[in-house]
Amino acid sequence: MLNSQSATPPLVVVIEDDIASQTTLARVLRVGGYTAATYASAEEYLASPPQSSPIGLLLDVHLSGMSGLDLQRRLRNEGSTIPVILITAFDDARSRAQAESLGCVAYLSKPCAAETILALLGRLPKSP
Amino acid sequence: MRDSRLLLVLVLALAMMAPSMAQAPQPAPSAEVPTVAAQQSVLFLAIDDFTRPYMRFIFEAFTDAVMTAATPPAIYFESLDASRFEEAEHLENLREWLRRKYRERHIDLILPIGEDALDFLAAAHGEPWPDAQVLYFESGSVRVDTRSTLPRAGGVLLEDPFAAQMEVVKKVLPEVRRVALVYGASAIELARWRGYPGKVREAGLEPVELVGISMEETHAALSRLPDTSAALVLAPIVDMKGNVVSPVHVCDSIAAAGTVPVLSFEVNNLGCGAVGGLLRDWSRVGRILGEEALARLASPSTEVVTVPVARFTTMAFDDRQLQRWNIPERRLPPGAVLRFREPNFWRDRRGLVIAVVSVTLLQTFLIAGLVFERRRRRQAEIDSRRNLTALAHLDRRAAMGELATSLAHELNQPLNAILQNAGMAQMLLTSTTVPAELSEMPDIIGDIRKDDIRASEVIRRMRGLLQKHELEARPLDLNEVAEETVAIVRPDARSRGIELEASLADGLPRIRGDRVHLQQVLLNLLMNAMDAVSSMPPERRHVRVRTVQSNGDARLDVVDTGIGIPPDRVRQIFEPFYTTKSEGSGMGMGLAIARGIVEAHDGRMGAENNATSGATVWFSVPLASNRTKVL
Repeated sequence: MLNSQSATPPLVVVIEDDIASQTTLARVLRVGGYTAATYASAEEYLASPPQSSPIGLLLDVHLSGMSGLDLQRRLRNEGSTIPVILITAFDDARSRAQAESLGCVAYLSKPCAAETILALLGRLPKSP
Repeated sequence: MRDSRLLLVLVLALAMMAPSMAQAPQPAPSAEVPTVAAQQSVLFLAIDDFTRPYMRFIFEAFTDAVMTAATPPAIYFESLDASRFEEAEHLENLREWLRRKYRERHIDLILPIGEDALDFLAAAHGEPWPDAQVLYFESGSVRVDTRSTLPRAGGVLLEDPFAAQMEVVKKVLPEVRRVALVYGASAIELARWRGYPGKVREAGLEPVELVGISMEETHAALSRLPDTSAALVLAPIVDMKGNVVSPVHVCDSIAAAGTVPVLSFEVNNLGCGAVGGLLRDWSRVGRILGEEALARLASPSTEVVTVPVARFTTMAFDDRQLQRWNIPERRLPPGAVLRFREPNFWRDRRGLVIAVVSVTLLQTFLIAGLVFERRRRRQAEIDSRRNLTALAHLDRRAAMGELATSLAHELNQPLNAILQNAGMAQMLLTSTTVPAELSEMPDIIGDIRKDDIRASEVIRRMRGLLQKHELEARPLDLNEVAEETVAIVRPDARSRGIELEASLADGLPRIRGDRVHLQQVLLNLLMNAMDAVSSMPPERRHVRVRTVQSNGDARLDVVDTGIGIPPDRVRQIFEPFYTTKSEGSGMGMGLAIARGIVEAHDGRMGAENNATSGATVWFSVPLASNRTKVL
């Protein structure tokens, strides 16, 4: 299950404004055999130099400033094909429907188990 | 030794006296005696003995009047005592005795007191004082013809007061129909009162004569009289058995028996049990006689002066008898004097008593009213406080309902971190392939603990606000209240893209208040402010909480950058049911409740529009050091 065999760990981008959640998620990814690039807001991610092909995006729905859904829409509109997994601390049907219509890989409600996230990531293509 | 010294003193004393003894036989100086008018003499010749009260009053007043003269006359007093010594030879023996007694005295004026005294003089042409002027006094009419026998006689004729006296009796005792006349059995008395039954009849009443009978019989006779009777005591002196009686005693004893009201027309009998009325005042009579005597000593006259009733009578009543016979004061003639009036505070100071009682009653009612009002007010305050508490609780629950989304979010963040960290730990412990990662365990467990505490903090804040809670005053830091409340709404603000800023005054002194309720007030203000800015463009979604100390108060401002309050509504926003939000967003009770809470803290609340944009809603609460009233 752990992706330790890979020579260069695949990159996963984490955008989460809750520091505790961000730290934990980074730890989960590291233990799961991934490299985590963490950002506290959508704006910070967009402003940073483009990362070398992440295999997936772990995106918090309720971000201060631009929301996770807005970022998802924007990336899709820009032609991005990076798989997006949305995570939210408050599950509401409208957000879920919107995220799914934009083609998210998964819409997870907090609290969500580390195994769930790693299992989802494991199903993603190992290289973009 | 001692004897010889005594002798020496004696010799010396005699030696000193010797020269004066030698001068002693000097002739008396033959000084001329100045011609002064010889002192005149008045003889008071009374029919009765001097112990009779009326005699004493006449004599004393007479003496007082006469003594006012520049050269008062000498006054002699003789009593015929004829009522008690009725023997025929008594008076002639007396006359002879008086002739001898006054052989060397000149009498200028004789005052025969009583009809028999005048008879005594008239019978012997004034002997033993044939040259003296006579000044008699009579009641009603002169019964003795003095023209031939006493050529120098004149008199004072007192108008007969009886008719007037009876009129007063009829007025004061209107129910009386019979008048029992009580008098002695001596010849003088029989003659004196002979005409009185007729006079009673003339007054329209029925006379009953109780003449000369013993006291026991008098009592018995009086007790047989019907209720509509009165007893008139006419100064009895000697009863049928020859016993000398005192009119005052008779009056006393009849009054004590108490069968009928007692009447007596002598002012000196008032007090013995008589009701009173128009009373002959012997002192006045004595004074009139004294004045008349002085006038006639200066200028002899045989005139008969008539004295009207009013000059020698007094209208007086015994208050005790009025009470006893239930005679109301209004029946008394005007100007009547009340004697033996027992002090009666109610009667004498009725005005004062009524005033004091009224003021006391008024005061009592006032105090009772105020106490009642105070209790009612206190009860109303308790009710109002209870209602406020209940409403505040509902309002808090509603607010927490609105915050549920963000609170769930706030709670899920640490729960999520805990779950993932726990999952990590489990993976690391069960994995055999990557033992190197075990070094992360302390960090993982530390994060779990941190997030657990974070979650419990969220729950603690929520629980405080969700519980029903009575208002209670405790020392409180308003900055802490602000920080806690901001923490509660911060997730909501974040999810709505609102920048929430707190600028809290350093060293803000404590207030006294209720943490939960003041949090509620701030929660209300913050949620309103966030609602006000949430529809604004992102750069204008700004809410600031500010605390300041001002004039003994701690003040908290919530400043937003919304569209502000319409100027004509600034005053209304604290009214119940005032709302600018769309239907379904709230009842408009929040600010009204918030103001109720602030006022329960003796604080104030207000709102104003900012100069640039948005509005500031504020409340202030007195500092604990500045507080006069405890919640």
